[in-house]
Amino acid sequence: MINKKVSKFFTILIFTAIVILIFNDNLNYSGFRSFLRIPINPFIRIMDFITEMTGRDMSEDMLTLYLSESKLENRSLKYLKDENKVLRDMLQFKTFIQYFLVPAEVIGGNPGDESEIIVNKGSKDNIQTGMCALFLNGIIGKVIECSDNSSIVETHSNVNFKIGVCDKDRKYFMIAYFHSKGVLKVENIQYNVVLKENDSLFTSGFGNIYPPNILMGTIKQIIKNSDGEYFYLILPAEKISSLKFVYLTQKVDVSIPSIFSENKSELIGSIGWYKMYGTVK
Amino acid sequence: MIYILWSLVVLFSIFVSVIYPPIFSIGSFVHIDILLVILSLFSLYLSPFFTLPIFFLAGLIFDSFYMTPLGYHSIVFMSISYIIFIIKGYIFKEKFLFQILVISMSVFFYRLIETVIYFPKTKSFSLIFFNLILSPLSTVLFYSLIYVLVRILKKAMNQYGKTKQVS
Repeated sequence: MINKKVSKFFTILIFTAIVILIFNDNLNYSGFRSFLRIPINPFIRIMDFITEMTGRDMSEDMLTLYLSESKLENRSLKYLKDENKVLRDMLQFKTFIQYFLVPAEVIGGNPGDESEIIVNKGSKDNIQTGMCALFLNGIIGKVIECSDNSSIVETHSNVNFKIGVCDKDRKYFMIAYFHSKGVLKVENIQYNVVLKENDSLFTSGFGNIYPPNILMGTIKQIIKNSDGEYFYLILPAEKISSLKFVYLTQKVDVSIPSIFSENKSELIGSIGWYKMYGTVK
Repeated sequence: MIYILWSLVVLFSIFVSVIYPPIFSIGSFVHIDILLVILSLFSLYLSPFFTLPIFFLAGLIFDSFYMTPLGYHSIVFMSISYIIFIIKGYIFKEKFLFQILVISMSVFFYRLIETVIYFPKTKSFSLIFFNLILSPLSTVLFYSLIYVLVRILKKAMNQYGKTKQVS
């Protein structure tokens, strides 16, 4: 049995609840709702804290695991590296650079000073900064910027251009700099260099940007200073203004075991009936 | 002092019910209504002058989290509590079977009201299945588990007390 007091108390509470329910649409209870959430907030904070701590513990465990795995892998790779080095030494590996040509069309540039040209090949075609640009007559410059579908080539008429050059016999090595539009300059020439006007200069291949033995230009003028030093003015073989296509060179490091390469005998000279052969690998 | 503890128990049961995903749920569809277990047990064993206002407030807190109309849960909880107050004079409330019956009926009543309100919106028959069958069943199973655990703990405590007295 339930007594009257309880019934009255229940009726009052139910009436209050019904009044609150009725005024839901008319009164804005948002403040009251946030006030009602206050007693539960400590539980939520504790839960958040526990979740965070558990997550941190888990991430620490994962990092420790990852670190130990990496250490193990690193040790194994170090062993493999040493083994690789030993095997390469045993096989007498020789490494050299091979160049592949990627044709590209000139789609823009600055015709005023011809310091830059834009070509239609970019990083999507595996073009990278630092690649050499050349065409049929000789060196044009190098790639200085790459986007997805185009690249900017710094030409030999750019103030920043410099290139290692040598004569056709590869006796004398020099560095050519930008002098003026369409003209390069070679300074600090050693006293024993004997070159004449209209002699051709080729790329030396040092620096691994430009491939060796590509025609750079011809000596246009030899100028002597008042203090006895002289320098060459070089006319580049390739004219920028008339360019429609260029080749970009892709470098590939190739290494082969020299002990497996075939030995070839090559005639290196003859004295009368006596012929001398050299062995070339 | 003991009423503060019971209030904290109610607050904790509200917390485990309102957070998402609920701690006591099966696949977040079948809810174990731990608050209704507390409500049933409080109504069976504690004074109505404590149980009714505490569940009036609990209903308001529930509504503030669920964004249901403020007062809806209060009415439902107090109604369930009042019904239990009426029937508790006619049953053996210490018997486990009656406790289970009261709990399952209160969960069923609560879920029935929810289904009646939400079925026209969702029109999902799985909601009926989950609310009217699985939820009361899972809540009763949960209570049974807690009951057994408490019994075992009590027994162990008694055993420990006896051994202590002998030594």
